Amino acid sequence: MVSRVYLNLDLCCGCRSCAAACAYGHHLQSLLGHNKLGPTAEPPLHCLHCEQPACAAACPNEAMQKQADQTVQRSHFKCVGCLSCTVACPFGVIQPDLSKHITPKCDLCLDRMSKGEIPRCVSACTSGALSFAEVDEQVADEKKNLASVRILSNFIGRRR
Amino acid sequence: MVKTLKRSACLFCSLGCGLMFRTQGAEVVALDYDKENPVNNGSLCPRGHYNIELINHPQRLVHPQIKQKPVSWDEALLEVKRGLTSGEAQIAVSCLMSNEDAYCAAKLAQSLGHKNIWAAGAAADLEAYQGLKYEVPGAKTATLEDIGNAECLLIIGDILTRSPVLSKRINRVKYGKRGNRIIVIDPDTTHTSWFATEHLRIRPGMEALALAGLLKVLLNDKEKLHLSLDTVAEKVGLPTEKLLQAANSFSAAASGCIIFAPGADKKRNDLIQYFTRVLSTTSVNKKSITFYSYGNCLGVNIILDQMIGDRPTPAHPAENSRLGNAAADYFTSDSTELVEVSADVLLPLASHLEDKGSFMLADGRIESLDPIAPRVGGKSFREICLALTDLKVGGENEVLDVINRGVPQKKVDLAELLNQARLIEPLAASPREEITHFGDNQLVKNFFWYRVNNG
Repeated sequence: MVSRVYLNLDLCCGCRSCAAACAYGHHLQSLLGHNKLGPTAEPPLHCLHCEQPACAAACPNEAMQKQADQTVQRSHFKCVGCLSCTVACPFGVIQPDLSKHITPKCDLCLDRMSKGEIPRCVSACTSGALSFAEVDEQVADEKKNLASVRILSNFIGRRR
Repeated sequence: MVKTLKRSACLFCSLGCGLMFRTQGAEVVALDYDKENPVNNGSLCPRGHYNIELINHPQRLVHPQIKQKPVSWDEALLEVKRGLTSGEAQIAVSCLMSNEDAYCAAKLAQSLGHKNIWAAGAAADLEAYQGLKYEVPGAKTATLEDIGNAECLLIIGDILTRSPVLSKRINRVKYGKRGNRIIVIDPDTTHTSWFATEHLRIRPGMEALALAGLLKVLLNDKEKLHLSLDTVAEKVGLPTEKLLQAANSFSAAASGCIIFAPGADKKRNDLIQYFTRVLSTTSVNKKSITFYSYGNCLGVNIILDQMIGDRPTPAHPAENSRLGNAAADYFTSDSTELVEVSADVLLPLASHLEDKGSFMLADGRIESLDPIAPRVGGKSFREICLALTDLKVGGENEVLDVINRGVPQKKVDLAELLNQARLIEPLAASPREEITHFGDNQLVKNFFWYRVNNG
């Protein structure tokens, strides 16, 4: 069973500690996308690691590829910074870094996953809005619990 | 090399979250999250991630400097000694220093024979601390558990920008039990007001008068505030019913907690602090707590008050906060800030992660921290004080004794302070913009619309 990062907008307080944790773990480059809703309101947009990733289909150099562990990973060496995946992503998650000419992309903290720990953003989340759970488990929860009606990624996860 | 985990705490605000450092030999390699800590359960705010830079920031001050030129320790200490003994000297103690360091600074001032010592930190914090000195019989400080278990929270100011880690507890109140209330008093839509069930949008700077209005309802005494509730409501910029409703829902709750975040955008932080404590005594099972923006604001101030007593206040409050910021940045040796104050002598200090020390946090718990890394080049303030003069410093128990005496209390007249709140004039309109979860972002709006119509 695959596990993914879920966001509950009801709980999110917009403190951006997920972005700070991500940047801390990835050479000061945050891999998260952010909704720019206002001057300080920027809830995170996590990569969903789709079953049929549009970014991988669009990539001209096969830098973005679906891996055997069901995650979509970007190869640092193959990426030429053409921004195709940025346009292709239906959720606007991949946001380009124009200064470094790359497209930073969530890798679900590979180094921590290999040790059996959860990703950094979920560990650091101050409000409990981010959770790392198995995909089907969350859908079952959502049917029971009306308060979680706004779990955006959950809704996307169900229709993959 | 074996990697080991060492526990420590973050002191960038007075919540005091726990965190861990991965060390390899003497070197600190990485930061990690402390899941077993009851304060934060592993979560860490953006500022907390900078803790690792206290140890291995590339620009750290390593050598003492005189007029921005590196010198030896002996030379620099001699210069400091000369400065301290000639004429009037003022000592400023940063609110990020440990209790032991503040104690040594107070001893140093005593041995020099003057009372010009003050705590330097955010000006709003120090103002709010003055409010703790006003005597309120029966007032209690809330613990962190109280916040999570309360049925009604009264929040003054934007606490979630200062200490986002509290949001887990605020969420527990909001989604815990039907009928739980979160009342937020803030002129703006902020991160905190997102969670409010009742948001009192007052005019900027009128927090003290709004609390005085709540007190007028709850104390039910017309004599104490020479203003009718309608006039208060009009001055604050709220309908009278809203004030009444907030006061009633606060007093009706079985247990409650008042959270106050002092800030420069508020007027008379000491009055707000005092009123929150009075409010907590008006009905059963209510407590109050204040979160300062510097970790050891309480501890340093208590030590200075208990050991030095009546001190002259610094002449310029603006200078106070500016110097305070410079002193607070000592650990990263952010020289730009210090050059701005044009320091003659600069001595590198050991950060709290390289030195043993105890800190008093917002809820009154005392956290003792052990060093996790060897020093880069700085000395602790204790050692510098001992090098300057022959101090007789007692053991750790002596510092604890001083701390345990608590904030010195003085009697005040509630009616008089209530009438002082009456004189507060609102600030100009607040420049902050509206913040909403959905805003104008079409992407999120579409998701939500789709979910509602097809779910």
